[in-house]
Amino acid sequence: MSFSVQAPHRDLSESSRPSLHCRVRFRSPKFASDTFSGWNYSRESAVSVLFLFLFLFSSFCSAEILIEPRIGFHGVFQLGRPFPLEVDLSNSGRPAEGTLEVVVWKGGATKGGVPYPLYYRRDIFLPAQSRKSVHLTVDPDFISRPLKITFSSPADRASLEVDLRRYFSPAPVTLMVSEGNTIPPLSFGSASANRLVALTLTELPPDPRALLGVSHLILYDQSLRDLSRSQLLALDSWLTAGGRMVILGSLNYPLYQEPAISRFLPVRVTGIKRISFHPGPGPNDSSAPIDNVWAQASTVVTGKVLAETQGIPVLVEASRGKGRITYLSLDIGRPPLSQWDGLPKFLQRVLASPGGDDLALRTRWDETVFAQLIQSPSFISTYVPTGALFLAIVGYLLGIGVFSWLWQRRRFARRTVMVTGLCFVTLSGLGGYLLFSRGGNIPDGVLLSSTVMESSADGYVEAQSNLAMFSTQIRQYDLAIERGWMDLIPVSVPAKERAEPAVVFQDGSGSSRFQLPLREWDYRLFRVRFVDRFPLRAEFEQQGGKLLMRLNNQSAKDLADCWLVAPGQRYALGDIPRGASWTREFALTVEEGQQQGGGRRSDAVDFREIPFKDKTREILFHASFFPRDDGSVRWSAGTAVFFGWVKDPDRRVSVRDNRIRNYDYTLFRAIVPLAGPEDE
Amino acid sequence: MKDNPVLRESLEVFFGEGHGFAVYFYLLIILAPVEFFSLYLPSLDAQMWSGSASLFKVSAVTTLLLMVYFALRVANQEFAPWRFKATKRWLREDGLAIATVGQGQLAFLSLHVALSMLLCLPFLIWAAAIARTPLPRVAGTLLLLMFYAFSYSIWGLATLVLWERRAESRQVFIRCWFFFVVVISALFYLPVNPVAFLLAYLGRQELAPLSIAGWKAPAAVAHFAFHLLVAFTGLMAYRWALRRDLAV
Repeated sequence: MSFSVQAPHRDLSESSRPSLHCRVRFRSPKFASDTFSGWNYSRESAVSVLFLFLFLFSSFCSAEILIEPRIGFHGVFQLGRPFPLEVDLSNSGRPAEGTLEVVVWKGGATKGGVPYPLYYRRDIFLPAQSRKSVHLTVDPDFISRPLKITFSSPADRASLEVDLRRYFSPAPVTLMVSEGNTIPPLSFGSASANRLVALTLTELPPDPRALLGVSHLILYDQSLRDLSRSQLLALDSWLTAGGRMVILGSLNYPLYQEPAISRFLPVRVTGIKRISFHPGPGPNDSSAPIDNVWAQASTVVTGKVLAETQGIPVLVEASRGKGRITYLSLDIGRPPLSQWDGLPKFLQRVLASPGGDDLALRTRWDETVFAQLIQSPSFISTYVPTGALFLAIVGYLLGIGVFSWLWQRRRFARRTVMVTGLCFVTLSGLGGYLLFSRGGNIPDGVLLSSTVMESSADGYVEAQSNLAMFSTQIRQYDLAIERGWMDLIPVSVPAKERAEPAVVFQDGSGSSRFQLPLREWDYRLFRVRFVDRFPLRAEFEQQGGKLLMRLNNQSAKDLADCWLVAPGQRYALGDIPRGASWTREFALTVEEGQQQGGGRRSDAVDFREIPFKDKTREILFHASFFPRDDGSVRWSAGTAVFFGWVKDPDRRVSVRDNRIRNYDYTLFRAIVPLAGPEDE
Repeated sequence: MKDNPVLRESLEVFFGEGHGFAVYFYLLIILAPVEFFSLYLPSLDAQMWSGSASLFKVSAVTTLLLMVYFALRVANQEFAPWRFKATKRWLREDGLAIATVGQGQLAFLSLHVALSMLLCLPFLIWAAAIARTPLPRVAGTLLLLMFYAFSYSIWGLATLVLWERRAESRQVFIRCWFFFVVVISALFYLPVNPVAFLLAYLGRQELAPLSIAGWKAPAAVAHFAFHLLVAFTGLMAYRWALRRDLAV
């Protein structure tokens, strides 16, 4: 089975574009025609009256809303990943101001919980006789229940249910973007499970999360000049988060010299040449060279040249964060390559993944970790006024003691002592109530964010943020998530029934805001993933029994309480300020290690022995970042781990309300495998 | 009522001579650390993840136990018993009417319960503020605490008159009675138990209705009917014992 690229088109089949009309409700003004009879109109006044009539007519009619959704990429999305949803709203009636709401279902059997709805909302104003496209990124956990789209305004309501089962693909989607209709007849052959979908540039989503179900984005003969800023940022974020972009060269080489595409190209394109191309080296490849192939001449800027012919880089690959950009200088859309039989196989080789993804070590984040945090005395004082309560109790007991002493000593009339004592008790109760319920620094809720930034390539880090939003009040919490977030996974949804579901507000730029209703003493746990720039390089080189560490902190943050841990060794490195750059040698052998830098002997890397002054840091480190049960095997296998706490970390998730307290703990870590004796 | 000699004697012994201060000292000195340290204890309730969420529950239950226990002991005249005149002497030698003796002892018991409640009130209100307990629930809890303390401690008065010369027997009975009403009663039918009912009330939980031979009664009805019965039978037993004292 093979998949061929179809020309991009806007019109989907009727089945993939369900729509719904609201009935027009006319409340036409009663104009008596004879009112104007006998008048001598000029032509202008007749036109004016006509316009006035039309205006009044339209304003007295109800809005007529037509909902036309476009699911995924031309009706295809990968199951289990977020996908773009474009909703076209056409209003053929009077202006309407309302809310577009999309409901998807989360949880369910695959997530080990009960299904619950998640609402996406956007406020929309639809002028009279207008059409508006709304881009959303939705992420249902299961699709056996329909997606529901509703537009509701005070006067009108239109809704539509979409059965998503007709659109999903189990494998990621490959996107092809090409100028106009000059798509080469690409075919990847039967080996590829990915669906190949052709898009126009404007159809690229402005939210990087919408691209998470895309394995490759192929650009051919395409200018990126018309990409919006949010689309460019989305592509950037998607790439750094692990996306794969393939840029195919074409005869129109000036397109490749534009700044918009240059930011992705690993080469600087200088011209075009005809070359003789040898497609090898495949294992059974004995094909002859192909002459007169159009190839772009270029000079390599970043990345690695994988194939070169006659001094022209043919295949260049560069990494971008966790993602990869592949540049093929050949024009495969024009003869002779377009007629070459081996093209599908060759393209499969170009698109093939070089190896498994280097998945970052997951942190542990569940109710047991949260329970440890919440019961830590140092943390309790962040949301309960323990100090004030202690003082109040002691003060009250002392006061009662004084009154009983005065009563027995009879220094004052007993009636006076009794009345004063009653006042004291009453005022203590009332004052304490006001202090503990409304006064002081008692927050309505606390947002705890603990993040591990895993060092990745090129100064990028993959940040796993574990969030705990807990509330002491019944109220709504607005969680604002900074741009660039990828996955937001609810870790726990406690069994008790929720009165209201969570709502996601998405704006056009890809920013999101979550509205969480919480009861008193209620909580929610989440994981969020980001890929971000954090130019701190920690490089290791093993030289016999020594470990050479080069560190260069070009980030804007200081690191505190840094450690280097290797099997049997640990070294306290203290603070590393921004701009610091040094190279140090650390002994890997036991004897030397014991002499230098306070290194300590143990059989394997034991993170439990690393102390932190801050109790919350200690709990997070030992229970979440380096959980003993999950990590022990990996640590004993021979790795060096460098880590340090980031001072004043950037807040990625926040609740902007002074009644909510935000706590951020961010750890930078770099894990490097060490060569064993057999490797040396 | 002011001139009631029984009440005046009790007031003099408890507050004039200061023998009753120990009761309130114990009450506060136990409640204060329980309230403070319960902030740091894991919650008993799986849905509530911290001691602070259950602070009012813990404080209210502690107050309930302390108030009932000390009210029973006060009614039983366990504090400075040598300073109180025996009931028989009030009735026979001083020639007081049964109603006068009964009113005096009941009034003093009520005063003790009210004073205990008043002294514990700040602790309970602070706990309610921290645990975000709604004020109507707090008010309901205070009324329940007073209701329990009064309805159980009437039995302290009954035993006092029944076995006036057998102090050890009275003390054993009082402790057994306390143990029965706060622990054993839960084994028969949970909503009858005051601790279970109070926790359910604060947690807004529905308790199982009482079902006897197809006839069902709501848990709250069964609970209050049981406690009114306890109070009424205690009052009847007390009245009967006073009459017996006068007759013998």
